[in-house]
Amino acid sequence: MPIFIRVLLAIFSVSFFVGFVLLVRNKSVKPIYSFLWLMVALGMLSIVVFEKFYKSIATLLGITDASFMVIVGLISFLLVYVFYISIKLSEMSDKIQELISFSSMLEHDIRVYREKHEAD
Amino acid sequence: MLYKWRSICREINQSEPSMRIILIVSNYNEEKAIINTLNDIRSNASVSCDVLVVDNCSTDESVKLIRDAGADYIRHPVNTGGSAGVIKTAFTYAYYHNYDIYCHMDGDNQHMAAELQKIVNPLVLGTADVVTGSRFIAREGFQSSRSRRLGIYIFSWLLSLFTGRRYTDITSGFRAYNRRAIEFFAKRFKQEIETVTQLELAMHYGGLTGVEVAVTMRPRTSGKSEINMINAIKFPVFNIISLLGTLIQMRKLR
Ligand SMILES: Nc1nc2c(ncn2[C@@H]2O[C@H](COP(=O)(O)OP(=O)(O)O)[C@@H](O)[C@H]2O)c(=O)[nH]1
Ligand SMILES: [Mg+2]
Repeated sequence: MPIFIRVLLAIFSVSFFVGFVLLVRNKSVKPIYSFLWLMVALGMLSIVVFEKFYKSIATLLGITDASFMVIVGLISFLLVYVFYISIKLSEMSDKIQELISFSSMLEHDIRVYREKHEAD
Repeated sequence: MLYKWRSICREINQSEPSMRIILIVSNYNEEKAIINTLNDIRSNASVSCDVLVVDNCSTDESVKLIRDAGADYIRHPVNTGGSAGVIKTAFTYAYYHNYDIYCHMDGDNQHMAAELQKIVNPLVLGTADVVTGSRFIAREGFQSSRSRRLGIYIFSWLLSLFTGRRYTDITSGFRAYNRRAIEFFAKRFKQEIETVTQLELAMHYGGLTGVEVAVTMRPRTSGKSEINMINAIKFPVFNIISLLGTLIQMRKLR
């Protein structure tokens, strides 16, 4: 890999890693996703660190083309996007749970109030 | 009719008469067992408490039975996909109605109302924030299947590694929480609870102390346990992932 691309990939994956870890620790991501995303970030980092190993796999698979970078770029974009969705999804399901709890409590209070009134 | 249930229990909790206790019974398609559960509570409950059934949008006749029995109940508009959603609602309810203690019982009549005092006592004495009734301490009564015991054993051991506390029956639904724990789960811990390991770890990192006390459980006589064939594979996997995930996020809980 040319040194330029290596540096670029290194910067990219380190920022990916730091970004994921910071977000995953602080945002309301479900533990299940937080683990998943940590693994993804680690995987990205490992590409830079164990470049030789990945290269041998790529050669084995017959990937030597430069268009490979396009695919990597696309996949990275999708990763970020899916990450964003999983944060949103976590937030949504927490909110839905909250809504279920409150609407059922409300329905209960209305029902009790009604029954009390009908009895009077 | 409804208010009959507001304080049905015979023995007033002498040590702390001012403590307000709510017993919340979870129900999901328990039409064969819920009435037995309620009768058990009505005649054997060993603490003075309000009783509320939280129904997770049952599709059978159980809600009608609960209503006819005159019990106070709350009904989820949709099923939350597991019993954890009921617990979330229970915390919210207990929090907004200013209860000091929230006791949880399953609607399948496996837990014994006569043993409520056992799980409430440590809270009244102030020795713990969360009490779990464990059937594996005294080893009496229904002991569950061998494979489930193995799962419980492995996860208990794993949890002990991180918390330094002994666990024997992590999946037990027979629990009691004090005001501090209610507040923690209703206000601070905003996430959906997905697994028991997550619940236990969140508690630990949230600074709550938990203990287990020995109780006896009856076998399930009707309906199906939440832990079935699919869940037998799903639960361990989810538990291990949520264990690691919660560890990553533990700083947030402090
Ligand atoms: N399976 C299932 N049970 C639920 C749900 N919501 C609440 N529950 C209640 O949660 C409890 C689950 O207990 P159970 O499945 O018997 O677990 P076990 O006793 O530990 O085997 C029962 O009281 C159910 O009625 C749900 O969505 N699915
Ligand atoms: Mg049960």
